[in-house]
Amino acid sequence: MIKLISRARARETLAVLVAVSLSAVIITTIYSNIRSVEEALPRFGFLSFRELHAHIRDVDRLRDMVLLVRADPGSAEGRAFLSEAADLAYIRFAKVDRSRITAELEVYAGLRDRVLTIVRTIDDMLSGTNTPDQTVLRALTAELEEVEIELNRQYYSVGEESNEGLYAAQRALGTLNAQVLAILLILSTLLIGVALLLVQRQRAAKNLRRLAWHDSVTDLKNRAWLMEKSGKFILDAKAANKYLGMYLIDLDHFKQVNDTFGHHVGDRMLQVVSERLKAHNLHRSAAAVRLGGDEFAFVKAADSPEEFVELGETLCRELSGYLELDGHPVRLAASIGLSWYPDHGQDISLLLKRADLALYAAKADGRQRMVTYSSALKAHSDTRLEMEERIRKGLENDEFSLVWQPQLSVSTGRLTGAEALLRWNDRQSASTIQPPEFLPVARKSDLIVEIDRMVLRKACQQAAGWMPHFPDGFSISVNISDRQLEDQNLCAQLAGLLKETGLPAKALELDVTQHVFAQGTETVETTLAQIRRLGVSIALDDFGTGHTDLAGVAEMAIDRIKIDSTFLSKLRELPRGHRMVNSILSMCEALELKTLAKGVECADQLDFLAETNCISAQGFYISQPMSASVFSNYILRHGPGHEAASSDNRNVRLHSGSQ
Amino acid sequence: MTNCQTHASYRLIFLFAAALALIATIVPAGAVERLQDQPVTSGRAFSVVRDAGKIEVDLAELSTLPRYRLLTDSPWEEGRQEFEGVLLRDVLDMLKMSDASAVIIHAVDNYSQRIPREDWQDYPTLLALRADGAFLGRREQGPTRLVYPVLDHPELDNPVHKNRWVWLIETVERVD
Repeated sequence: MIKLISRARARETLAVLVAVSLSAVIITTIYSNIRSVEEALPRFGFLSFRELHAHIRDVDRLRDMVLLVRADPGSAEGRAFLSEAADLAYIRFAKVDRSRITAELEVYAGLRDRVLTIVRTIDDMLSGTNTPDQTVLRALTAELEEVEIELNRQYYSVGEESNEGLYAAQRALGTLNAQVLAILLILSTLLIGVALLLVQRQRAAKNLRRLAWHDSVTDLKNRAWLMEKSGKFILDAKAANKYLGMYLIDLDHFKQVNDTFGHHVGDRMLQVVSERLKAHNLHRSAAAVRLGGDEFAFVKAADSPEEFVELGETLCRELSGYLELDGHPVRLAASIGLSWYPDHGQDISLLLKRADLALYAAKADGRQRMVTYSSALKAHSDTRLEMEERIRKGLENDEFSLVWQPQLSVSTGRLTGAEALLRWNDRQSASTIQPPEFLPVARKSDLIVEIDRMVLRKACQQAAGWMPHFPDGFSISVNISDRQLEDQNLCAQLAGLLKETGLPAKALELDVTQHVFAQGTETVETTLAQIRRLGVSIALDDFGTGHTDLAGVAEMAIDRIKIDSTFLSKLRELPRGHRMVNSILSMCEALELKTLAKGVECADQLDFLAETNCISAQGFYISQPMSASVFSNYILRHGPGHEAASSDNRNVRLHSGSQ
Repeated sequence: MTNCQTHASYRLIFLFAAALALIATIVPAGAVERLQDQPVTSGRAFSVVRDAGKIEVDLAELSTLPRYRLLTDSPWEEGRQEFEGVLLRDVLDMLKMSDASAVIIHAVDNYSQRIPREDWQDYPTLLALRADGAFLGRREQGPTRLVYPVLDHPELDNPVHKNRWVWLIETVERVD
């Protein structure tokens, strides 16, 4: 990382150095060329030329006038012309500023003096009345001619110099022009490049922002966007004096859809949900956000909370039903938690938290429904959270233990197995907490998985030690939760555990509830089939309670049915109870399923079971649950070697009575 | 001379000085200044070519026009000079030529320059008759020469206007 940064920095420095040297070359080239043009330009400017020319003209005119007077010295007109020419020469050489010419022409000062002397001589000559003297006039002519020749020589010499300079300057300008053109081309190319880079950078930034704020699967906004805009949502609602509803939507059994049909079907399902949510985002008055996984948020402003409830129910309805995705019939169901500003929270985070609580309640209530947040919900949640924390600590401190309830063969009275039951010796309250008090809480969190694992491990470890006592077979029943069954690794874990503890697979029976089958997912069925292939048995627990799918029993991958205790307890109250239990047992016999009746509390019940050919029984009348060590003693007393204990039901009854 | 009188004369001097200071602040150094009671001279000034005819203008005629003093630098001569004369505007008004788009002024040595109307409309361009307190003879580029107020209007200090400083004025020609 640091290396990358330093390399990037080195590249930056290089770019800056290249740019600086390039501009230095450009500036130097341009400057030196302009200098060369400047140097080549003639120093003797156009106005100086004009001046010099005027000088020559005035001297020439003066010479002509002298010649005129020489030709006719007596003519007054000639004298007037000469006087005028002398005036002009005087003005040119004496009055007009000559500084530039003087500076440029070294010989000028001398020539000037000579012209002014001539002018003075002419003035003197004309001031008198005498006819001008021919000798003086001849001398003046010669002198003026000399001056004129010298002036002309200078004129042509500086003219040629100037011409050369102008030619050189013209050529230098041509070169400069080409260079400027080339540089401008380079600069404009750079400029275009920079402009393109800027545009691209802007586009990339926009893209990045889109990526950062978008969910690619559903094309909805994501959690980061929701958090970024959270303040704005509240402010807008506040400004418009509106309520802001926060729906937290969670798809029921989404994981199973993914596991069963593959992720592409899961993604399609998410897309269907997002489409349906988007349909409610009319006029951009709402926002649908995928928070992650199968969790969506829908934020909407409304004038009254009633609108929220109404919309929530609509959403619930719309997000349920069967979909045909890639040829698979998939069930869609969603649970929704609702909270709104300002009643349930003043910021998005709190609204999300409270909607989450409501969602949790919706899931706990049996899913596929909407629950609105309330303070009672919060209190409930607090209790639940506290319980979760206590369970977590309990697990850490190994406060959970197993008790075992024996299972007997009804026909022989022999000990054939035992069910592992969970007990929690809570140190905090210094009391034993019964499973119904903490299992529901554990089931709603991930704790149930840990508990399941712990129970399985302990049961297998403890039972492995009892195996040598039972050459004819002995099996332990362990309850396993729906959540654990959804774990695709369960089978592998189980195989590892059996190997580790040395418990034979056939000595383990897992109790599952009908609920598992009601879900009807392929994952669970596959897992159950795999477990059975290991040699582990599956028993259907609590048979007869809730919605029992009698027709389905035939299809279930199970080995035993455990008849719920309510049947035995109601034998007397219900006249047809006998016949019902009877028919269940007959059905099981026909399906070749083993049977076990739970909740045997008196001798009559045991007698009844014996009459109806129920295979095994379990209950307080036989024995209360006992700790592993007590159960070890129990085995010693009631195990296969003790015929008295197992042949006579009465003994069992007496024993249980003494517990 | 009494004390009181001395006091009064001091006060007079003070007031005079104050007035001078006031004038000095109001009138900038190079400004064109209207003159009163200036000496008059006569003689031919220049010819005017107008409506295919030629008329002579005398210096005495020019002297009847309001006279001004102008302190300015000349691009042709060294140092600052004080010219006196009449405005070209007034001269052309008098000659009924101020509506012309331009005039061409010819000099004795056949030098000539086209003077556009802006030069006399926008600036107090002077037809100088005197310089440094004396009338302009021929050696002083007279009897009339054109002078631009370069000091007050530095924008006139350029090669184009420099050439319009015509001296030894011989003819003024109307251009329409």
